[in-house]
Amino acid sequence: MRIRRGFTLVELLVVIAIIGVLVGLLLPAVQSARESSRRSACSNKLRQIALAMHSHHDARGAFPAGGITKVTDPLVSGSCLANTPGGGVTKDGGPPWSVLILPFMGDQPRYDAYSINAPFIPTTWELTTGTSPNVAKQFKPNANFQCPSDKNSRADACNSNYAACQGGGPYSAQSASALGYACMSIAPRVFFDNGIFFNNSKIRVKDILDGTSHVALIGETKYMPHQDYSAATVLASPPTGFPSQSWDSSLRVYTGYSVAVGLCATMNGINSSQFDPAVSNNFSGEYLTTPQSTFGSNHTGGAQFATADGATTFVSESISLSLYRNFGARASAKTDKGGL
Amino acid sequence: MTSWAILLTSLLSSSFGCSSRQDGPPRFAVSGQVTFDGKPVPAGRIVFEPDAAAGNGGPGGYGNIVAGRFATFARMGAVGGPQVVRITGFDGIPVGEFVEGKPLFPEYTTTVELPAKAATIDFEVPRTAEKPKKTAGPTTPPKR
Repeated sequence: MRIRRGFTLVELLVVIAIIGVLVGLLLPAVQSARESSRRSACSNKLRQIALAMHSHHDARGAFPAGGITKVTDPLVSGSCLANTPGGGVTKDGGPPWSVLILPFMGDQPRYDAYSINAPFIPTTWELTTGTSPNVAKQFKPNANFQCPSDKNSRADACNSNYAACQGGGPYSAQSASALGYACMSIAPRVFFDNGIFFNNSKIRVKDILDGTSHVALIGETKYMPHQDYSAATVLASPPTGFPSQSWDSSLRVYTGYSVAVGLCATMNGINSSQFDPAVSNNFSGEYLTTPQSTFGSNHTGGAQFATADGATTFVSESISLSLYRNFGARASAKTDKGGL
Repeated sequence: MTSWAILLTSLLSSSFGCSSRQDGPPRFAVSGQVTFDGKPVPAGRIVFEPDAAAGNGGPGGYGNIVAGRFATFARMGAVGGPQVVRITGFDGIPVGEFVEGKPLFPEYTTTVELPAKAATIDFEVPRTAEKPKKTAGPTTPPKR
């Protein structure tokens, strides 16, 4: 009689089940380790940008302007509807903060490629009227401004995941001149100037009365409108209807259609909007307010910020709203400084 | 066979407790209707801010208004207690690049006391809220 050595079906099934359970235990751990490393990479990029801003401060005597524009006075709110969208590239800005810090990020060639004194355009809507030599240079990808956790931050996209902080508070806390830009009669826009970055700002460390470790310098955003287009598509056949923005978009400051592109305020809580910039038919009015009022990230439970002293910190989305709003303002006379 | 069962049970039970937790104070879903002058608000947003003046604190609650109804987003509910409610509403007729249309009224602010559980509450924005306040700021034309 032959002795048959082998495994029964039950034995095999049990082994497979055990392996399955072990893999099931392992996979979430691997996924969270991957996300953890992406978060570290993102934190590093945030820190590099903060460092470049400090280098700018050392070299030029102040943090870079949130955006340089020719508009120096508050706009007249009564004429809000007089202008048409897409009009007047010359009324728009010079370089935004993200371009001004390029030489300090080791990216001098890219900086030199722009015509710094010529207008920069804010959105693809201005492509049609764009006569500036910068139009062909803008809307190119720059990985230094992309967080690897954001599925929209593809290698061929020109979006940014980092917004400079223009201030903080409820909507009604915007200053009179900021509200002049905001021009409520067509849509609520969010223009603060109690932070470090705004139109033609020149904030120095000594202006940050709350202390540099208590004030937001830049934070993460996942809301920059750029739709699901590669940079090449954006330039070759601009999406009609709703404008895309780029990491090097200028501020848009003209009557009725102003947008604080590239800036954000600590106005609404972190991740508090469902707005997804990549879904083209999701362009509700949120796309004019959410990117400027709401920081957010694809990291679980909050977003990372760089404070004005250059440190990066993770801020939970369950932070007290009043504390969070003071976090964006440079001189809020905070009484509750602990933690931030 | 018993030992297999014990092993499997312990492995399975050890995987519990790994689900994501939510830190911070508990947040509760709030939903309801928003009307302006008796008619549903076509589009807009609602924010619940813990009223610091009334001694409340914590994260805010956020929701969108669609066809007169609102509900706070998942994980973005309001904490209980006294709240300042900020409502923006739009007429839903696209203008320029703004598909939700023009504001029906300037940001409307009211206060409400929320229970520490999921709640349904309706808001009526009075007709008197319609006239937008004159935007502050100088009225001289901009120099360019």
